[in-house]
Amino acid sequence: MTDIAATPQRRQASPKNRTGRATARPRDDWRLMLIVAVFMLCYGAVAVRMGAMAISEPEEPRLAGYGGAEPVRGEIVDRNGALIAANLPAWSLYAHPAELKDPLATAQELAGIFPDMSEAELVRLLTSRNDFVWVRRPITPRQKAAVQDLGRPGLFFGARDMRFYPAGQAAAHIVGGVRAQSEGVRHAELVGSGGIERYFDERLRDPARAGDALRLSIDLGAQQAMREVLSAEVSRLGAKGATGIIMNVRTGEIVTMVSLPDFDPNARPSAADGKGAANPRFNRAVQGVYELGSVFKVLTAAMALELGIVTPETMVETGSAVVIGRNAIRDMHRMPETLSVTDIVVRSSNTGTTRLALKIGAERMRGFLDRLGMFDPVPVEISEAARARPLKPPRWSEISTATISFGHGLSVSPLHLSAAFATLANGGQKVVPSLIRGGNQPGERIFSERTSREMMAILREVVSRGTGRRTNVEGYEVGGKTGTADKPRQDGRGYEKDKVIATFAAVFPTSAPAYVAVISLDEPVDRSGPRPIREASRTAVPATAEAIRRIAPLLGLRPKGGRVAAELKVAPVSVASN
Amino acid sequence: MKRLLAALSVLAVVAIAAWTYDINYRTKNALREVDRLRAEIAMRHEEQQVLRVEWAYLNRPDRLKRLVEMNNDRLGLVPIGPERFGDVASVPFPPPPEVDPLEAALAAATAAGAFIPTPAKTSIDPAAAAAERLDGGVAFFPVRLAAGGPADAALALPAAVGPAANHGAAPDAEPALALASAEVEAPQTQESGNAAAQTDAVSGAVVAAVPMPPRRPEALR
Repeated sequence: MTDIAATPQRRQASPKNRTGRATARPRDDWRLMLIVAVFMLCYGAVAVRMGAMAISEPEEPRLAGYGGAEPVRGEIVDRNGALIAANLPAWSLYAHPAELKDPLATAQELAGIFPDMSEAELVRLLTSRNDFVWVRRPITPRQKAAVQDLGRPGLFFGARDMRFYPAGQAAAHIVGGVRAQSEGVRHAELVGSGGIERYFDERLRDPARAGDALRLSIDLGAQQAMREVLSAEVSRLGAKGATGIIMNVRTGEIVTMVSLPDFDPNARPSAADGKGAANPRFNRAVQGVYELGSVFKVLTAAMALELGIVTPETMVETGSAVVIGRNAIRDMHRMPETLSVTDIVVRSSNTGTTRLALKIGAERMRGFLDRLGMFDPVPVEISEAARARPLKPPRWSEISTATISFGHGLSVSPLHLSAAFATLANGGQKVVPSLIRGGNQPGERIFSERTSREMMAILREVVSRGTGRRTNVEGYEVGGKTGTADKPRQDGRGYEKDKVIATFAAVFPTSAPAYVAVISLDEPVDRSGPRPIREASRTAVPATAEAIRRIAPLLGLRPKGGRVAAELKVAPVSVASN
Repeated sequence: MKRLLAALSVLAVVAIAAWTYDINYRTKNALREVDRLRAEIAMRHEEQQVLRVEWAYLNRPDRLKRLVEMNNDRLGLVPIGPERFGDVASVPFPPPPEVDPLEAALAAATAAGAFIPTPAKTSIDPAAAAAERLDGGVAFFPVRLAAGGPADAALALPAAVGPAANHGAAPDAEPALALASAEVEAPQTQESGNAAAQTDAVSGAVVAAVPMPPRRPEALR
């Protein structure tokens, strides 16, 4: 109204203003400018915002709404892609009691869904004064759906992952286990607490790599076969435990690594279930450091050959004991006056090996063993390995050199031995064991190709006419060396009389070495005969033979020549005769 | 004029409002649908993961071993050993093809342009087929011919595996077939010979029943 009335006035006034605007009404002008500026600013802001929205990609803010359990812990698979460790989606139910409309009815309904929870307990939970209570965790998808169907306010689900090991006991010691850490509503963080799970914890937890599985060098089929063979041998020989390793000699890939007794990783025993080797979690292949006995003679002979001290044909005196200070080293059985280096290994002569060791000398022997990694923990990818340090004599005396040459006085794990044998077998380049598919490149040269070849021939002799005869699997040209070592007494004074560690370290095929197998039995006794037999040749050797017979075909290794081809040649004849 | 313009404007505003309203609701519905689908996808992913893990669990080596032991009388599986490796060179050659006079005559007639009626129906004995499937399915496929003849023999051939059933095949097809079959059952010896003998006995007949082949040879177990 006032506007309309004012307009004619202003029209009349305007001609006057034309001359004296600046002087007559400066305040009006200033206001006008301010208003223009304010409007410009507003429209400008709207324009900028519109422009920004028009340019930017349409994007939905709803993506984050789904409360999936992220990030997922990476999976672990065997060399062929079979699942060893995976995640299962699970849920946990929690409540905000303040938001519950009818806690008593809710509790009654929930008690129907969870039969093992009493209604009183649920009422207590749901009427508590806390802002937040865990009702139950974990719950199954079906229970979750049932709770959702109730449609009660104030009940919420937290997504989380459960670690599951579908392969069961087969790879128990290798994968280890996980435990939950920092449990939140959205997810509970799973942290590795042993084995591969712990060693590769960072990598498995890395969300960027959650999609690609960690591929191990293990072959589950072979692993299972090894487990079966060892279980059978353990029960046949009443052994306390056993371990079996098969390793690729070129890459150091561990194809099987079994330690008995083992456990179900889905119900992992705790540290309280026994100390040391008595706990099923104890991995004998890696954590068990033992004096492995005569298998070390192979390394001593290889050093002597490598240094050019002897050739395989050199004759060494074996008829008499070697006296070092107050100690005399003798052979278990009567030996001829002299034996060739080959025969020292084949017939497992302590005196012969000691004489070789004394010629090698303490310094050079330590150098070799050090370079073979015999004094350090094995750098294999499970968390327990770093703590399993070999036991070596505090002062390396002449007697140490002598006894270590035949495997006493230095305690190493079976995996150490496998790596050393693989190094010897693959032409002399150092092998670093690995549990990851692909393995490691061969390292520095420790033995020459020639030494490697000569030693393979000697190991073959052991199997064809020595203590390893029972492992002569036709077609696979197995070579190897037995070791029967008395166990040290618990009180540290000397050795047990009738408790041994029986070991067989094998290479096959010796003409073109592909795999090393080390099988070690803890306190085996063969009671089938008139007197109990504990020697590796009757305990560890048959076990190795069976393991190679079962596993080599699984690894695609064809037997060479011999019986197999001959048998098949019969077939065409019988057809042609018709 | 002005009124018309005003009226049109009002109409336009109403129309646009209605259109906006509609679009708005459709968008909301679409978003709801997207949410639902997202949730479903997430659910399916989870289900898939559960099934994958369950599959791995059901295929764990010690369970398979237990199953094999439980069904040992039907499967007769043993661990693979070094003696299982075969050699292409040791695969037995099939017996030389025998010329069936009737077949030759028919072929000659066909070549000359004679009309040969389409083959009679083949009937598969369901009971025999079921029994074979239990056998592992590798051996033979029991095809019973209602009426014999060259076309029937050819029909039966792709299903019939093994050197014993190779009669009537084109000669150049034989070695390949024999190879494929013999790789499955390399150490086949005595039985296959018997089967061949049986086949020899009946192959000349017009109404031929392809004999039931032997079960997987005992030697395999």
